[in-house]
Amino acid sequence: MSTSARDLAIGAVACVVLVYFFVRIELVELVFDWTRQYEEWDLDEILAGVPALAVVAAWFAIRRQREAVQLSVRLEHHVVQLQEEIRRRRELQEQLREAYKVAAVGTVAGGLAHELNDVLQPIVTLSQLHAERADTPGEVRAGMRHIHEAAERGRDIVRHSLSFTTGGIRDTEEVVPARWLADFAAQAQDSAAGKVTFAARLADDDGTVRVNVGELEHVMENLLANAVEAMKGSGTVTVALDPCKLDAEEALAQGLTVGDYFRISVADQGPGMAGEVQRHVFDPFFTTKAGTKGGGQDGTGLGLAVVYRLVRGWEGNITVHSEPGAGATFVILIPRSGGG
Amino acid sequence: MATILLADDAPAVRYALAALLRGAGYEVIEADSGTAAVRAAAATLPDLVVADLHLPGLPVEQLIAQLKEAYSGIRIVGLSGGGMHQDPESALRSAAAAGADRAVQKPVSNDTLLAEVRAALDS
Repeated sequence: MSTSARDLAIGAVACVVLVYFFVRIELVELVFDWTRQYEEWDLDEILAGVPALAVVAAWFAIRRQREAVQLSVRLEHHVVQLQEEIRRRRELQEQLREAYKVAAVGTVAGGLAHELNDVLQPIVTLSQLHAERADTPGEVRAGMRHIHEAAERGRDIVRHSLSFTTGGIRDTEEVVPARWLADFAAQAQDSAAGKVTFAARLADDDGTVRVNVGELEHVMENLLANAVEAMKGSGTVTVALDPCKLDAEEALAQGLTVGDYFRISVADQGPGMAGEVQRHVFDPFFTTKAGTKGGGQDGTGLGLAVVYRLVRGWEGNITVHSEPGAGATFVILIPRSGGG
Repeated sequence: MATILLADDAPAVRYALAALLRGAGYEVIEADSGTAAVRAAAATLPDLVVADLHLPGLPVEQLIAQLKEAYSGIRIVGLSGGGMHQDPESALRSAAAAGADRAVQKPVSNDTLLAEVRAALDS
């Protein structure tokens, strides 16, 4: 029961009790007798003043009540703003943590890569040399091939870990995403295997973004490969491009600055992913894939972590939206550059 | 057949790459540091140097400059493993800027290294 309903109930009960009490003491008769007793006083004016006073008091009460309501509405508004601010700050903290994590992995990867490449070099060289030598016994040759494959896989992991190092600043250029993605989607369609089809829904916009084309290709290829893999070889992958504007709130939520962006999305019709997977999907070394036959970075758990880092490098952001059973959509935001 | 000076501070890397290059018919001289490489280059006048770009004791620019000083016709293939403060690509770029003819990233496959060596010798 709300406070005002309770007050109303108390008021009604009090009213009944008071009426009952006044009837019991025969108040009307008492007042009548009293006024007759002191007829020489100006009692009529005083008695008329009582209801007048009651009306004025009620008016005051209503006024104060209204002010109180306005105050509480404003208070509520502030509380909502405060909660929103707390939520934003938590998100920001989360993003900071993510950035620190990626930076830490980058530092470790840079140091490890240097050491590991020297370790891998003799393994790669000698395993291949002995696998190809005519006088190597068949059994040893098979073993050498396995060692070679494992070493190449190790090399791939090191190379992809190196994408985290902050060393090289790559050359960027102005790219018209509408045109670039049209070409990219056409190529993807040409090389599509099985029952996978590609659909492109690209906004007609000649605006540009400033990126390294090799990185853009790497990002899109990774997302497409993930989509195809998620659909187990059949279904439609939709690549979409839309221009958009980020206001202060959205920009904060994305860890970006306010302004004009291009939104590129890659949507698959796979089984989707659970919230827990979504939360960790860009974490280095997080993978849902089983170890694979090698080739590419399948199963290293670095594919999307590298994608994340590259997109952040363009001062953009990537997020994933998914429901179990309803496919997954990766959404990239890249700032529209001044050049177009 | 051409003579190649192989400079790397990691013995296992030297052993493996020397085996590969000898198997391909080249004569190989080994050096385990930048200064040893410069000395060996001056003494033997190899056709080509295959050198790690992070050799101890000598920064890559100085190594390349001194090798060219020792023997101006020398050709250089740099090997980069990447490092704490430099990604492999920029290491290769700085090697090229310092005057290496070619540069490859470690671990390099046998076919790639032999192709690079042939290309450097033909240039």
